[in-house]
Amino acid sequence: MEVSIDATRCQGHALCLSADPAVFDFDDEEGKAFVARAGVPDGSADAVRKAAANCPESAIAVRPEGGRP
Amino acid sequence: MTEENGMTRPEHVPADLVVDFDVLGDLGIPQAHAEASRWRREKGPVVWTDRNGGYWIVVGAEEIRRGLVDVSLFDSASRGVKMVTIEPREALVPLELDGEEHTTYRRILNPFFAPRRMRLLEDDVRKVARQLLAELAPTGSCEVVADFARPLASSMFLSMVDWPLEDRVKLENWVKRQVNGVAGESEEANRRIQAEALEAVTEYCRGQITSRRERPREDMTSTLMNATVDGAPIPDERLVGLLIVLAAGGLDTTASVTSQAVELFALHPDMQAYVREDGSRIPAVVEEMLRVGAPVGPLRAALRDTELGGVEIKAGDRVHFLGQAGSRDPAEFPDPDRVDLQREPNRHMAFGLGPHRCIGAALARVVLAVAFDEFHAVIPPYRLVGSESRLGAVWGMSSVVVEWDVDEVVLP
Repeated sequence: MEVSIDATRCQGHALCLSADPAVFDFDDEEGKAFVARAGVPDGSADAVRKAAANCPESAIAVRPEGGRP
Repeated sequence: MTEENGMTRPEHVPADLVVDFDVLGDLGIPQAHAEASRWRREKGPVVWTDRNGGYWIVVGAEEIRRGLVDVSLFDSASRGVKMVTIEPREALVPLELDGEEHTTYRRILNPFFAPRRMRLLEDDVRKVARQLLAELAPTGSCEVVADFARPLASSMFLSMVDWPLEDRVKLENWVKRQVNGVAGESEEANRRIQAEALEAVTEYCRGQITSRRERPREDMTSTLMNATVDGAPIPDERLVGLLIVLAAGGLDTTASVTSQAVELFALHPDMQAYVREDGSRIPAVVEEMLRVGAPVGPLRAALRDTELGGVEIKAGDRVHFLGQAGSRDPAEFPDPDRVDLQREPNRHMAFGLGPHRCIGAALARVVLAVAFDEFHAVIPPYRLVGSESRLGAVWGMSSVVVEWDVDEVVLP
């Protein structure tokens, strides 16, 4: 599973950072989240899916490894 | 324009979309939600009120998302996009700025409100909460707004900007009047009340700046004073506008959600027990309380003629994106009026959306989580004695009185 954040949509609500800080990181100056590791570890799959479903700006895309969003 | 009882309505507003909604009237929060649900059901996602200068009210989740995210459609900068029409004045920063200038000020503010930095404040919030509750618990009752919710939220704000804690009540009262006016007063009277309160807050902020100019400190206020925009220091009037916005956000909104939550839990002992039993449940509880207790809906003006939810909106029209109602749109939130403390997903709009989303969101989440956790750790099962809510620019509780059995209190 791979995850990405659309920086043009992200407004820094930071719910993803709470969902899984191993996968999502945060730029304190820009006030935006970014993906720390695009390849999602197996143990994080649920948290990442949850982060995508709850993102207020629909900025998080999840896709199978090597697949299309 | 048609004029009726002194109210003006543009001709492109269809008569069947007009509702009678006075956000500064004496309606309570539950009644306002009932009204908004009825409009959505009977009229659709976008309606018009003639009150307070006349504006569109958007209650559909999809339409609110579109309007707040697409900044080519609606702006925040137009002066006078308020509940009441006000005299021209300096912009409140960054609330009433758009585009590059807005982004520049957000960049200055962002580090202060960075989510991880906010979490470091948790221990401080907890200390304040425990102090407040240790005094309240043995008395057997409290008025949640004044005794707990406000002092907790305000103390955190005041310590961030490093303004004297003893100015708290004075500031809260000014901000309350500036933001909401006084419910039940005439539009004319509220214009005056809000302008006077704004002047008082402005003077106060100027005073904080002046005292630091004489004796610089290491707090957020001083840091903002030393910040530069395009190589030059932030002009004083911008600095004041910025501090006013931070004060309004810090003093009124989080306290509203805390108070609404305690009122709700007081009526539902099962919810109290649920929160009390397991601290790991609290983050989801916070999100659900933000959804059902969202206090703010952003105000905008249309930049060009557009269409929203099938309704024709013309350039210059004022629009109130009622996120409070959008977060209860059944199209997105199943069984929206039911409080589900495990709701998932929960894409509520309590903090707004798009570039103007609430910069204090992470701080609010920390304060709310600690408030719910500590209140239920210290206060035994409690009952509602009485409560009263009000609308305004920030919806909230005028009072929430709860009581409990003193002999059940076990202080840590």
